Amino acid sequence: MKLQACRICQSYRGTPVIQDIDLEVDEGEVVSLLGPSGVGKTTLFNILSGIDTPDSGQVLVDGEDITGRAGRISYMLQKDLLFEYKTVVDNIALPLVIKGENKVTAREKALEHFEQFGLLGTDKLFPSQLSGGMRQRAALLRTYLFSHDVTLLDEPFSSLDAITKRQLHKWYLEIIHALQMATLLITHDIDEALRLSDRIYLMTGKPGRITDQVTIERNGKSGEAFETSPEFLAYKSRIIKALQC
Amino acid sequence: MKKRWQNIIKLKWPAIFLMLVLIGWQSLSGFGIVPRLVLPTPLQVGRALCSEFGVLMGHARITLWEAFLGLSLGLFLSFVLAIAMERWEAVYEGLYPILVITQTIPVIAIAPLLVLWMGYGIAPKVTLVVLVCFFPVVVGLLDGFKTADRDAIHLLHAMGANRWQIMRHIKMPVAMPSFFAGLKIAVAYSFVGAVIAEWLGGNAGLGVYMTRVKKAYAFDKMFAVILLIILISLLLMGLTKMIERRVMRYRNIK
Repeated sequence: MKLQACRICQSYRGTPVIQDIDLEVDEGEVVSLLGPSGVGKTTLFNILSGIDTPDSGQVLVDGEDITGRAGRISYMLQKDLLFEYKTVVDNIALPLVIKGENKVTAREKALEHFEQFGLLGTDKLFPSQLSGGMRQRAALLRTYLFSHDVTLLDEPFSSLDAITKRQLHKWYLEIIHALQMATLLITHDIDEALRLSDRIYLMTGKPGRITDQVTIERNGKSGEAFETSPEFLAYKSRIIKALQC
Repeated sequence: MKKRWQNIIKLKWPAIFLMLVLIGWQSLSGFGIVPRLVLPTPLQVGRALCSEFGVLMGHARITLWEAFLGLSLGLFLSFVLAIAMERWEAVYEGLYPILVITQTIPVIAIAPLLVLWMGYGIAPKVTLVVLVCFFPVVVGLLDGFKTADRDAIHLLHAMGANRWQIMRHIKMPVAMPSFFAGLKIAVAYSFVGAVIAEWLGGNAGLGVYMTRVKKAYAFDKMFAVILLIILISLLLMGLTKMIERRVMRYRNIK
């Protein structure tokens, strides 16, 4: 098991926000955490990434307790957080520089992945010169260089237009399987969750709990074929019912 | 090339108005409405500037050196202070009011004291320059640090960055625009500050020259040195702007 969260509880000013969260992400698996806004997804996200320490519970990576420790799990937000004053290659190499590599080798290592991430020729540009989709890809590469272990994605595609989003989803699925990145995707977009994940956790209530789990069987179908299949619709209606929306 | 022309066209109106002012001034004293002794004509000023050019340059070199030393020292102090104030809340809380108070002390009032304490050498001039130029820079840096994005800081934290790395990769770069806004003011202050300090005593420098020609009632030379101070200040500000463009290259691409 790559990432494991055990009985995580967190409250804010005396009110419990999330309670007894248990979840697992296996090697190379894409798991979504689906729930309405305000259910505590971001609170959980901050705990998993080590920014916050939970009131109780544990976060394990490869069985090692990393609760409250940053630097092991990488993450990416809806805002791509690319630094406007750094070139694309320096943005992407930043996690390596932070870990103590020198600038030149960090750049070289970053450049090795530019082709795979469809960023060839953009290294000396500034982020403001990239399109929305390109920025997101650059941010994802930076996230990948930050940690190969587990990646948390917090609504990474929600600021993109529908068409760019679809293209990016397709590309993203390919790359994530090529790189075998274990991923926990936080989203409130049911279609996105169904399109991308192997498994979906549903989070509802106040305080937020994980109330259901759906494993997606594609039966060999992928992309459009899966999205227009009766199975897809069945999953979707089940999730809508579970979320009561 | 096209851009160059546009820039020249943009200068049309300022140039016309400046010409009008100069023509008005020239006729005011040229036609004897105001005595030439009191208000020399622009042409006289120009002539004085040419004939005194060598002497003026010699003095300007001294003043520039003082301004440069003061500014460098001031910048160094500003960075140390701003970083310390950003790092420790107590330092910020404790020092900020004192900084504001130091800015309410008139430069003219403190300059004679500095001369009394430090003598007629270069020390009081450099000190005065440090005093006038470090405040806008410190405030610029502190305001700039505050514009750092919280999520960006979180991200670097999650990457395992320490405080210095966050300063180096986020806070310092985002502070650059407001730092340069402060620096432009500081650069202009530093040169004028050095001149003011020289009024109160010394052997060389544009301020010393000013007091000398004032005593001789040589108004044309007085105006010539003022003109030179304006030109040098503009030049220094232009230079700062050039450095700014270089440092913040990402801002001029589109």
